[in-house]
Amino acid sequence: MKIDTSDTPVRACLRFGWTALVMFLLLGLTLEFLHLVKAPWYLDLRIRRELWVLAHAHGALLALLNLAFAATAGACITDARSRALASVMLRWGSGLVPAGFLLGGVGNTESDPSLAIVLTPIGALMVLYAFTVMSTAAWRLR
Amino acid sequence: MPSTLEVDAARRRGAVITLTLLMLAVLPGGVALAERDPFGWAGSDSCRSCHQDHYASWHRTFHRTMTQEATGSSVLGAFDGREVTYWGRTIRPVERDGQFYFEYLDAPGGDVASVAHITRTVGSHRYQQYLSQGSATGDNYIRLHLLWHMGEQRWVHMNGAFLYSDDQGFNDHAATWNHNCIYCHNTGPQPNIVNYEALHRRLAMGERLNFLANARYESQVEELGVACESCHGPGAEHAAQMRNPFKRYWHAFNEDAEVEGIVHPGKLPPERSAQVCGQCHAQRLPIRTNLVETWLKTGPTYRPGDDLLDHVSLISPDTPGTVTKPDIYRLRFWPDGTPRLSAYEYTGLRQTPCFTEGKATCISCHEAHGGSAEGMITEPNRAGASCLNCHQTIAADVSKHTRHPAESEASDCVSCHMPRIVYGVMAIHRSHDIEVPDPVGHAEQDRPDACSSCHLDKSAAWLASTIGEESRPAADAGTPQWLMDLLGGDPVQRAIAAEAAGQDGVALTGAARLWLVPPLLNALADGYPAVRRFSANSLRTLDEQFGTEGPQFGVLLDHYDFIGDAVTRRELGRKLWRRWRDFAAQRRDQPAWIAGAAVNPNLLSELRAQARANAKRIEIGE
Repeated sequence: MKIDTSDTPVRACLRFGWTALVMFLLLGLTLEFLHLVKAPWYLDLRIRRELWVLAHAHGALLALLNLAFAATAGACITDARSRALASVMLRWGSGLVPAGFLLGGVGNTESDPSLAIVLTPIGALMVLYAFTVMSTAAWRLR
Repeated sequence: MPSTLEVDAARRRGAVITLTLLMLAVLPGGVALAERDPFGWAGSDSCRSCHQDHYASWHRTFHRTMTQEATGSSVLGAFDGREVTYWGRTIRPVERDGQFYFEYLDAPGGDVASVAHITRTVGSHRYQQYLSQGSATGDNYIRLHLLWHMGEQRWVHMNGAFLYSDDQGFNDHAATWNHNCIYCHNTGPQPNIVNYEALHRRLAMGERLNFLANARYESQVEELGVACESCHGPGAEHAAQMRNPFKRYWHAFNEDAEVEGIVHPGKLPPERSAQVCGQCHAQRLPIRTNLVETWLKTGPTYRPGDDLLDHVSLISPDTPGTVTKPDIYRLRFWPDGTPRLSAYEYTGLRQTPCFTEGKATCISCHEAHGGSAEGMITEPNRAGASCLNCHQTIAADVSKHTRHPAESEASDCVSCHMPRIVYGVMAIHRSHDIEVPDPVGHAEQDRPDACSSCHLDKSAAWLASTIGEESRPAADAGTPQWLMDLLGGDPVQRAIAAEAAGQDGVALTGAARLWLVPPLLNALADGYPAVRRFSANSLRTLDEQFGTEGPQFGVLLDHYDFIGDAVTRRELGRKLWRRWRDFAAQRRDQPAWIAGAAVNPNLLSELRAQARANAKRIEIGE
């Protein structure tokens, strides 16, 4: 499969995807380190631990999906404006979803994330939009 | 063949239907959760969804396991089929198909005369008691005869757990759970007496009957054991309110805002906060006699946050006893009013200036969700942080205040101000009536003291003379207070003295502790099982500490059973004395106390006469 790297939205998703993979790999290493040193402010706070693991998992997965978008968007979405908008929405969404989880685990209560968690559903809607555009375009392929 | 657009439309409809079904699947669950029981209880599982950390810190406590259904994981006793014979009856604890039974035999090794199916357990910390529910008891739960002692890993007849003499019957402690243990060992207790009116009619017609013995119950509890709502109040309303995320975040940002439908003991005024614990850690009676019916039907009326004293009257030395037992309550206190049984912690605390003037409350030292499960005290508080919060000047020079080395156990605040003078659940506990040691005053009140419980070889007068003196007097001509308590005190004094001898922190070290042995051997002949048990345990501790430098009682003590039959006990007692005399004879080069001179025959008979005069049946009420 040949990727058209001259297409700005595709190139942006490629850069975002690989950079995000590096960042969330580093986050994963950090979480493992916190296990290594048995950091109580991470291990003992159930909500924080869950949210940061979710941030790591979602960040890494969405980074991969950005790469998948870069690889297939050119073939699926023929309209350049739609492709550009989907790319922007996917990148912002891919940033906001893990950011919401990560920041939701800072200043959280015993039962709830901090208010930063609102970033996650906003980001999720943006990602949903991008994937819906991709999905619809894929169904239209002949 | 459908067009692409029609396929797309069908898929969209499918997605909408799927989402709608998902919503419908979620919504009824929410509605069902919002249903209320008439009393507004939610159960600890409801609390767990939001308060998982607090749930986990409660889950490890002995509060949770106070009452449990009898299962393989909750039953701690050895139901291995080995027979246990006490007070002339033999019981065989057995397990069959995951069910637990006490088989009552007609003789040791004989046939099964009756079987009690164990359905619930009470306790999991020091010992575990067993309940049976049967048609013969009108579906009441009855406490059975044997308890399993966790520390000693052995069966003990209930008679050995109380401060009664050997003059007890086999069935004396077969209590009914439904109007007794249910109140404090469960959450949301409702005894639900079913024949209250019928019994009243019979009494009104002049029939002489034991009301409680004839009562029949269909008891319910909101939750077995002491769970979240015992301390925080019924939580169904709170759980429903807090399903609203906006309310949750509002409270997260406004910590001082009152949360509806629930009580945070830490945010209550000190008096009310202590009363949350006091609802159980203070023996009490309904404040009005007409509340007895309410208690027997729907349970106690107090809820956390209320003024406890609007609902109950705390038992005190002045609480009138019954016609047949006029001293029943007075005997639960030392003559100066200090509680001497467990489950009076709040009663004791209320008498202290720390509470009345300093606003100290239970949670000044204890943490329901922190510290070790034993005592629920955090490490800083164990080190005295809760005392030093107010008494800061003492921290600057601890040894000047305590007159003991700062690093020694004697310099712990609780060692002197909360002496171990309280009996309960087969153990000696610290008094919660925080006090200043007064060896002579306390001796005159016939009660032990922090000083005399540690300086076992000193008289009260000598101890008093050292308080306020920079140097100790050279000689002590008086009889050691510990000796007088051990052999001549009342049952609680004797039990406390017997137990004190085995404590690591006592002010006798090395060979000097040999002096304790003859009095303890004398105490093995005490008429109260509890005193004998503490004496034997202290002798075991000392024997281990002495090693080859001591009399090496070894297996003789291992075979000594404080509630075993009297003949065997006497025989073992004689052997232990013989071993001691042989040992003492080899140590003639040592000071005179080795020969047991501390207990000269005249003093011994005098103290024994005192002990006989002090024979009392202390009804623990637990």
